[in-house]
Amino acid sequence: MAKAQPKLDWLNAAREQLNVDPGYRKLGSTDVTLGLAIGGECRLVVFEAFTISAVRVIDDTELRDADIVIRMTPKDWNAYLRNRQKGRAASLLSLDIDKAVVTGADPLKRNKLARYNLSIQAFLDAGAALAA
Amino acid sequence: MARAKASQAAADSNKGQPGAIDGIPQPRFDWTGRSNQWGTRVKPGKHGLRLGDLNVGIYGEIPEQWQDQTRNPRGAIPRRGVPPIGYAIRDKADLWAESAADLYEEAIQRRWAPATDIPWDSVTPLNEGLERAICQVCTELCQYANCDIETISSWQHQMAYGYHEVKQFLATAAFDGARHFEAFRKRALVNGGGLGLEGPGEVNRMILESRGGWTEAVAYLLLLRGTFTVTLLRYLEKAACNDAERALYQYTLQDKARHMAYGLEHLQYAIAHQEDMTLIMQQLMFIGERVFAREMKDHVLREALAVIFAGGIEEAGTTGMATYRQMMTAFMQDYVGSCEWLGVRRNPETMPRILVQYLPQKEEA
Repeated sequence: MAKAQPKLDWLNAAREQLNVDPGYRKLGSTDVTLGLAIGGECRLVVFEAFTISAVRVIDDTELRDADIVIRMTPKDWNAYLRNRQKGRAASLLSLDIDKAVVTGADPLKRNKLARYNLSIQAFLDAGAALAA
Repeated sequence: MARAKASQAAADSNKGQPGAIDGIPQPRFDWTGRSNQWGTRVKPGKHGLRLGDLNVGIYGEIPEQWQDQTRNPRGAIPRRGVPPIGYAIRDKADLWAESAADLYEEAIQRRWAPATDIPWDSVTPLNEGLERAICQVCTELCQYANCDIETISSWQHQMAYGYHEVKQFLATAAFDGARHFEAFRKRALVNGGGLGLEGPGEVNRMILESRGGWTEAVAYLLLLRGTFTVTLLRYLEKAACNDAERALYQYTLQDKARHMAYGLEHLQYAIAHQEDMTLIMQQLMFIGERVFAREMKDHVLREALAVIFAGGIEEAGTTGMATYRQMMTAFMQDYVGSCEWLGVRRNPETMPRILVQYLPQKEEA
């Protein structure tokens, strides 16, 4: 059986969508670099002020530049996006309680998950809708 | 008296001059041209024009000790003869965190209003046991929020104006406390329930009565209580019964996490810049953990949380308590992890058993 490919092609589209979304801006300034390690694929998403300034393809050694990293298998990642889009999945905060999917190099960096939870979730939810 | 006479004389001398206003002294404009640094032109960036962006030239010189005892804004020319205010906190190491200005801006920009940003209409009737438990937890969270306000307010006025970034950030943190009080009270009263029992308040008292300095208050208010509150809010968010509760915990969590960012950074700064602070912190946490442990013996909050986690009273003693245990483990891991990151080692052998029991046991070699 073929391995699941992680759905990551929506990242830039979600970035562009949120950068012009007044609802996202209303959440307030967000300054966090979010690493995604989904199977063997890695990305760095840079949240800066009121926009998402960059989405970069990186290798796993560059994940050290991230404040926080979401690590999931492609299967779990795809299922999370799918279920989130259907309104059946918990928030990333809750998912992290169950499956410890978010890491941070130190308590201050890890704290950014809670500090920016609404903005990070808005990005994932925009992606979930696009990936559907 | 002499000055009043001179002023009157100046006003009188104005009479008869073309365009002069009766009773108002002739302007001298001798204050113009007086500035420690003129020609400053700060430009807004991506975030807008932030408080921290203004720290240029002499306005960005933040000394290790602030000698001025007045409300003179940093960088302004002091006026002679102003009676001292009596600020007790005048050492940078006693309050500073590098990100204070940014956190202030973040607090302003990420503000929310419980009245309109929480979808209260999504709250629907729950079984009585669950509603009572939610109301009980909200009652105690109101007390935590009150403690935040009172603690911050009782120290803030003692801080010298040379460190206005911290004073301004703490003003937002106190306001966050007011908003949290409002929001939790609203949740308790919105769905046919009401406020429950007052919590024991021992930790609140310890925080409020900490007299050793602001750093000590931060250790108790944020490192110990703050870590617990953040963990609590995360688990409550996971167990939320409706969109209103989910939003309530998500918003309050982002505020508390911002307070934690200040707390951790300040403690890191204080430890790095004050001899013996590591040892002092170890002793403080030794004391604080005992008060915290005593409060955790109170069964009310524990049981209310178990009911929420189980969705009702029926499974509270089993699945609810299992989740409570999981939450306490997460709290203890985060608390001990933060202490160790700060260099404040915690020895499980000297910590209260009621807390250590939640730490994962290390396997013997």
